[in-house]
Amino acid sequence: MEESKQPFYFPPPAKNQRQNVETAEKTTLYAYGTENSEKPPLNNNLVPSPQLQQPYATNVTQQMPFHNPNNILPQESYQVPNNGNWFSNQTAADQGTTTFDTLVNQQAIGATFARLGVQYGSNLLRAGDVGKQEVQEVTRWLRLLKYYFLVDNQYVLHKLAIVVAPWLNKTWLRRRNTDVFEAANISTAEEYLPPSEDINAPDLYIPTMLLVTYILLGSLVRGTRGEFTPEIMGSMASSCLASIVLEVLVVKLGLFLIGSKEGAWLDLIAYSGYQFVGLVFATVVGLFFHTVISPRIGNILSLFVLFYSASMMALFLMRTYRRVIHTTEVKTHGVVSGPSSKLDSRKNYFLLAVAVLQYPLFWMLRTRL
Amino acid sequence: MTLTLGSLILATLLTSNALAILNEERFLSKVGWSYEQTRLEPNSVKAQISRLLYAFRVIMRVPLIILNILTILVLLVIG
Repeated sequence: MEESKQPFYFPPPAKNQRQNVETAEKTTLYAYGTENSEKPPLNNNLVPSPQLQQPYATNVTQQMPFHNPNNILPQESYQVPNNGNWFSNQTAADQGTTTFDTLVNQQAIGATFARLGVQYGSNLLRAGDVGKQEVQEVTRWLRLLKYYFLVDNQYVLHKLAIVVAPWLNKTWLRRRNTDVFEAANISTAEEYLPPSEDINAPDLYIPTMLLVTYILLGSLVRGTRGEFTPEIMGSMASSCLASIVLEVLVVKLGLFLIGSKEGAWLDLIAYSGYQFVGLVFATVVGLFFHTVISPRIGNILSLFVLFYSASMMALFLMRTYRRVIHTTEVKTHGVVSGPSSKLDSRKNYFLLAVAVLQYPLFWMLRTRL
Repeated sequence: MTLTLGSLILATLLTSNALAILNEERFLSKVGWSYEQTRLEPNSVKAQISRLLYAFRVIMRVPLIILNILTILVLLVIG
């Protein structure tokens, strides 16, 4: 049995050492046969490297029967090209029961530790995956938000013009992102082209900026009358946000009632936030004529512009939401052309309600000059 | 500026209470707005409303209790 193993385990000798190697074979055979119980099993791990061991093997095995019959070095020479653990297991199987037991125990302990290590590692990996998932979730949300802020100067100017004068816009369709549309699991934001490439895409840049502008403008108007206190800004922000929330809730309820699945929350917030364009417009015009010509004319003009802006906002929202409802019915590739002819009365009522809602909101949010 | 966020939240809470308090057997089924009665025509506005009411009763019961208690406590302390 050992003879069959020997050529496999024996290190490839150098040519000038051929004779010594053959003697070493014999002596190590002898060593295997005689010293069974004495071999400390863990010495295998002490073997540093095959290059260090080869001269040992040839030298010591010659001296071994005479000087130190319990020497373990010749046995170690067998496992030079091999892995330590595996070899020690095989020699232990050939040896006595005590060393075999200890070896098996140590092997089992090692295996247990290895298994524990693997489990620990996989747990760590899984924990890393969980963290990665959360990071992915956050990045997904950030990417979703980023979509609404991908604006450029041209888009902002055109969008302001469209909100103030909606008849300038010819088509109200959002352009689909045809590249990503084929892929599965795309979010709504990625389904459409961003605002910088599509004038009809909703953005959150204009609502955010104009909300802040409107609050500052209202504070300025109060300041011109000497009534400014810092609380005014808070109450104005509260009213403006409440108006957005109210409109979004109404629109969402309406979309639910007519059975439409379209309308992401951020889209609705963006559409609703465009009302500050009209409010800022009315306030600026009123303030200008109020100071330049006369307060009375300024007030009248401001109310007129407010009414006009509310109407235009209503028109804008009717056009936009009609398209939103329509997209539920027609979900095809590319650009859908032509107005929807199948708007039943429920949808018309919904559009009318959204349009009518603009007037009380504008009236409530207006700044008295 | 009559509408504020606080008043809007209060109004939403009161409306939610009003929606959640409508009883299925005692009230809705007699009017013809119960969940079972409107299931035959699933796309009508009536069916959607009754579905919304049903969902409100099922989902919002415990949150509404908590929100009501919180609102009562806050209003007792502050306002």
